Amino acid sequence: MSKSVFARKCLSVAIAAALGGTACASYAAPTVSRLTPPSNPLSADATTLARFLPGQRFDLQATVKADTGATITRFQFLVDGVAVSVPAERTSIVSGSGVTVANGFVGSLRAYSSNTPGVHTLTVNATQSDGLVATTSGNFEVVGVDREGRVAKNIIILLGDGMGAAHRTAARIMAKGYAQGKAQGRLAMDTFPFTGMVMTSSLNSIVTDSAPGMANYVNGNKANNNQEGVFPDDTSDAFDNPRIEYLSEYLHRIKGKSLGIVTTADVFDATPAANAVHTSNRGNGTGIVDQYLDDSKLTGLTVLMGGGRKWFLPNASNSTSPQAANGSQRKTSSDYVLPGDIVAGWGAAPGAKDPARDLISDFQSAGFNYAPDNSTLQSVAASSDKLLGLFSYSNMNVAFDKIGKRRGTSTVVDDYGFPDQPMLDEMTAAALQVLKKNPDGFVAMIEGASIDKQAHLMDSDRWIEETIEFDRAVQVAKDFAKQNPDTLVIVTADHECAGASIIGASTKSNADLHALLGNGTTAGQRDPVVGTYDAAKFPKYSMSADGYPATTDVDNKMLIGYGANADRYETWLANEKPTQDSQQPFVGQAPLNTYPANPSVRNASTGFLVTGQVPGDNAVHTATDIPLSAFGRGASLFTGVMDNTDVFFKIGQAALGGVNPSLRDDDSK
Amino acid sequence: MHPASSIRNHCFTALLAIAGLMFSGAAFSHELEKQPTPHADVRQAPAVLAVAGELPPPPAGVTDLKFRELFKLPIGPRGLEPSDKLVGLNGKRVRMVGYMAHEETHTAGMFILSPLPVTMGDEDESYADDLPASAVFVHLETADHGAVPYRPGLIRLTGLLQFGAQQEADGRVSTVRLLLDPALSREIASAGANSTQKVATR
Repeated sequence: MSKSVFARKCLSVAIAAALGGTACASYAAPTVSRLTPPSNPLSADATTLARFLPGQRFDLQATVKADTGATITRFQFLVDGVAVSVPAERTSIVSGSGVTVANGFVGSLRAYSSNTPGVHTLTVNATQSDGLVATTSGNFEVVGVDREGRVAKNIIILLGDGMGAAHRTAARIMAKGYAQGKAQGRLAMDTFPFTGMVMTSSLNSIVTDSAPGMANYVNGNKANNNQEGVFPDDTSDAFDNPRIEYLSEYLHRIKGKSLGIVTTADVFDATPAANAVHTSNRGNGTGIVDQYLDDSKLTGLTVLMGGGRKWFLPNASNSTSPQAANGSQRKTSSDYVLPGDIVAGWGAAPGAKDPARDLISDFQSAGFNYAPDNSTLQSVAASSDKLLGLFSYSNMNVAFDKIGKRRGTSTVVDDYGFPDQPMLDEMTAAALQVLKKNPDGFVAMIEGASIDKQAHLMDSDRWIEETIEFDRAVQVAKDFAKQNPDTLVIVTADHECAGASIIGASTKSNADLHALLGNGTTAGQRDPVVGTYDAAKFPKYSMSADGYPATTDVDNKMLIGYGANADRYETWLANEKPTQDSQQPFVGQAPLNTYPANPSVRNASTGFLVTGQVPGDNAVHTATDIPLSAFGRGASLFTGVMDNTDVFFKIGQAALGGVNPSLRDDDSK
Repeated sequence: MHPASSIRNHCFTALLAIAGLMFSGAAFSHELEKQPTPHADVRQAPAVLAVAGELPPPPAGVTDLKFRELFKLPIGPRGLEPSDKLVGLNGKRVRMVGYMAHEETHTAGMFILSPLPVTMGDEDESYADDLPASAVFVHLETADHGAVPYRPGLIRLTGLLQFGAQQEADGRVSTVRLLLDPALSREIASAGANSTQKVATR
């Protein structure tokens, strides 16, 4: 919550226990500048901002500005007027240089929970050293769960990062084809019986990034951009923010469920981390990957798959300038140590600044099988009770290039140094194979990460194939749910990316588009090419047996425009090479140095310039609502226009209270 | 991932826009135009260091070594591993082509050769993108040469290759070092003695 909002709330500073008061050197009184969880005093139809499931844990915290020369000696939190009493080791007062508010004192009470549904009043009384007391109140809500019927044992969240309606439509047009106005087939996600629309804004902006975009789904609360699993605070420590219990932690604690995280991104990336890791800075890679393992007893982490090997390698030198000889990115400055009150309240591991840690070996010691490539994954998945897959140095390569390697038509993945990376559907199948061994069920988050990353880069052919790859993972999850009817499958996105639009189709053959390369003018490469309305007709792609288009450069191909675009040069043709990913180990070195650096120079000599509406080199996220589709146990809950935090409570209803069995949640269209 | 947020945190500003042009002669002049604000001590590369078009064959007893060849491919399950070529050339003379890292604070008698143009601040607090593991620490024959003036663009260097972890005078840990030939040391350090650059005292 912004400080200004709270400033309005803090007019009522009670001066209790005023023992004469004349000793005050200043007329100022201590004031509460922030009370957490945040409240909403602005809107009558949204009286509660912070909502929790019954028993879901969260931290109580307040920031108080003390008078000059004074200190805050005591914080007391009250819920509905009753003081919350916990052992002293679950509380703390932070002050001094670690607090970003002048003369500020941050008081915390860790791991509070309430089982009583309804809106509750939260009050803090902060006592200053001279006896003055600052107080303010807010509220939060405990959302009850109705006992309806059969519960969902397994929860699978498929998260197409950045996947808006246009990304889904483009994948359908390419993979299934249209004729006479009708799609000639449906994506797996199209066959889900219930679909709704999700509002995606974060706590501090209409446009979210992926950290709160994911976290809001799995803890029910709004968060600031860049923050995952926490509320904002006024301290400089990125790992001491007030925590909110994740779905994984909540359901592991009360139901014994396992957690699986599968992504095509670096596993430290915002979306995967926002299922298990609590930090206010999504960039703290060393601490994030450490927490995955250290707190696996809290989250039930059983499967972790994706890229990001660089965070798991020991770095004895603690230096990344240059990186260690093994390419490790681990550093003290991005690692974590938790304060004692979080350790005591949450039962969390204290953490350590240990860049020399061999995290792969530590995972193995904890019972995880380690798969560095697809062939290992295929051979160990069936026999694994726990599984760690790190298939690349940072983000994995994208479907367009992985499939190119399998077809023998591309060496991109060789150039990156990881020739044998699995596809997302293969990772999903392996993950479900391991997770289903838990008779108490599981929570799985499966992310198609580079729909977003390639949309940022405005590489249309690549994000469309990413969406097709993602949909193949959706099919795997749907098949699992059909065989295991106590499974809920949700397909959604954290936000839309790039304002992608299907603007029509090319009026040119592939050969004619090639002949226009180098023209460089809108008169040459735009006006005679872009077929709108009737001229677009129905682009036709030929699908190969591997499930991907034989080529995306067909005659009269589908054309994509961007409403949130940066400058780019457009040729309408597929880029043979992906745009550089600055987090790869050999970036800048042959042959990766021949890859385009960013969209503002890519195709500069072959395409025409499309001037962007946003500054910088990348298209950006948008605030557009995104579609959500649901299948399986509890799917009927997911209709209408929802806030992203609503999704959490619907999952809670499905997992704890169940749904009326007469609703046909698995009615596949 | 939101690219802007990671970029925001970087202390090293990788000038990727020109990285793709590393080995072409045409790229060199283009690259010069795109360098950051001219530095008072910027020196253009003298002929002996310059890279334009195809390099002449290396002198007898000198092997060309590319950054790309320092580590094995594919990348190993436990991270990067030194290539047989790197290990085999340890203690031998090699020629390398790369960019001098643009450092805010210089260390007497040494600089960093990078496969891509980088500008490095004093604060080493970056999160995601850093100088790659293949960056090579270049040592002049003696620290008496003082700070080495920054030179934009590709340069070619010949010297004795050293492989193995070593703590450097600037506090960093190097893996691969190039001990410059004495004549080249004097050439690249020229004007260094009168430099106004900030020199580390550590």
